[in-house]
Amino acid sequence: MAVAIVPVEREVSRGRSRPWYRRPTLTIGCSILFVIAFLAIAAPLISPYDPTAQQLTAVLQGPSTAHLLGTDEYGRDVWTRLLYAGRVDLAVGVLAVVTPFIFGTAVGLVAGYYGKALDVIVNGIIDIVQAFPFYVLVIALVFVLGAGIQGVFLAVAAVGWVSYARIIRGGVLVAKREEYILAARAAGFSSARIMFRHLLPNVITQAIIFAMSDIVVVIVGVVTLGYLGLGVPPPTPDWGSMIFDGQTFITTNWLLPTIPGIAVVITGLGLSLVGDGLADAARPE
Amino acid sequence: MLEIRSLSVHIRSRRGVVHAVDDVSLTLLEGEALGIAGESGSGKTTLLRAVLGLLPRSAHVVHGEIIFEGVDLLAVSAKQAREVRGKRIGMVFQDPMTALNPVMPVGDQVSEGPRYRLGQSADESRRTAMKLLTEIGIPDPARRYRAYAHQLSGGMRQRIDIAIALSCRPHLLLCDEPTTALDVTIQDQILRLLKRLSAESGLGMLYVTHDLAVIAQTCPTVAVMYAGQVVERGPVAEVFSRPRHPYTRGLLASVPDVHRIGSALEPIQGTPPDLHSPPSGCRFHPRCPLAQVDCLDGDFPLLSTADDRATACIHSERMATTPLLSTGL
Repeated sequence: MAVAIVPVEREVSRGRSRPWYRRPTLTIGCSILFVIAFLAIAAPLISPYDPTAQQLTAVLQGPSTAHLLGTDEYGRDVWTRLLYAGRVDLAVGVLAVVTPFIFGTAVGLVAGYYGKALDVIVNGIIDIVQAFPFYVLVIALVFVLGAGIQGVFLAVAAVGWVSYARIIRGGVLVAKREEYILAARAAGFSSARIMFRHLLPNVITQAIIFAMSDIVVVIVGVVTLGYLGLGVPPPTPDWGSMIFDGQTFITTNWLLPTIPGIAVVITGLGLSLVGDGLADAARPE
Repeated sequence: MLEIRSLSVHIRSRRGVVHAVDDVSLTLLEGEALGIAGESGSGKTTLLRAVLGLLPRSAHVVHGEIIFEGVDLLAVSAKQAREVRGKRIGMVFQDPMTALNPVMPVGDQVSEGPRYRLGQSADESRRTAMKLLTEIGIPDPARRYRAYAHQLSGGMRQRIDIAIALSCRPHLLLCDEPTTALDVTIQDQILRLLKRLSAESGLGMLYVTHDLAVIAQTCPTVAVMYAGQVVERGPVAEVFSRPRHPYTRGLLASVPDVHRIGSALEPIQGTPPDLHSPPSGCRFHPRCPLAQVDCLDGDFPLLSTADDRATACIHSERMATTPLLSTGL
């Protein structure tokens, strides 16, 4: 029996994405981050000085053509140190977000999908970690793990993953009741395939948006730990220790602690704009 | 090809145990299409999900067997049951909007089964999917392949859903109200498509719906479910023209008919029973115009008659002479 099926349906086109110039938040944020990342990566090429080379004949100078942003109390070039500090802070910040992002997402996905005892345990750990204020827990962990880049990274990662696990778990709990997940199971796909190919793409957006705001928190956290003397050991520059060292001279050379502060603010602003822009882009129109 | 033997499914709820499917037996022959009719909550969907081995966590099979191609699906391991799903039993869902993954191009969803279940190469599975899309009546399949679910109309989405269900060439297709969410004109196209597939490829079909007209159009045989039980079964034309169970007659009388404009619909009195504590005896007796004292307790199994029909009603011979309204027993 041959029945001719006459196609009468029309394709309905919706959700066409706006061009980049119609998304000013995302564009400006990305531009800021691009410039900062470029300056940090290209630091050895841009700056003529060594970030740790002391020049005791030229301490605490103001901005000049030789030293764009002046020199600190050891005669080190502030512009050079600012760029090198950015390398350290951004690298630690990004790493301390990417690692917990991956780990937390995997944990949230598995706990949300399988549920039962596993979910109860994971949820318990999340609640315990989130019951502490962020800095209290991170500082305590840095004391235990030892100050320095490694300690800071491990402490921030150990606290940070729970946020991702919570976001993903919540998304999975909702999404796994959707009919397309039942359909995937009805098609006989493996649990791993259903989790990573069907659930994950549907819940990952929220975690990515959160990661953008999380990087701000983490970079400020790394800077704060540096300021408290728990971060990168001297003489390696870092924005936090630069602010701390500079504040002694705030009455005479106010630029010294202010410049790294501004660097933190601009970086944070860029990341926030990207986060907002992504959230906006992900929102269905 | 499929034989369900006295299947009972219980669902745990806060208020106790729901007897969602109670002692249901059904047989589906090779290439046959069987319609299962019933109201919401009559256990139709639970029955389908039991066949697929995908009952919700709160539900479990109390007893019974589901023999599919010689194997009891309830007795095999989870791994073997998964092997059957998709490859030998496909399922079409009610709402084509929610049954498709919103973030995966529809073509990839069609080719996913052949690629990962049948072990085809990327190119091969793509060709399989394209062929299916063409077969299923998707115009310009090459372009639609990359489309997302929200870019397609309801009818198109349901076609894609059917293509996915068929992508691993199953022998049995479970349809859970696949046209309920569609316009009648699109519904007609989908039904013709399913009928054609069933006729061309010897595909067995279990078609669940509350819409009697849809069953009349699609399936040669019908089973009517009420409160978790099958109350009547037989060839569709005969069951609908001369029902032998008062519930079936009530269902037919409550269907709007354009040829009877002006005449009032006759709803079935009362409401479906609470399956936490189903009525004793015949479950339909509180709403039944034929009910007598002997309906109040005992078992009411489906009794077959020589003409390939079966009814659970013990008073079916009085059907023709009694009015529809309930006696209020």
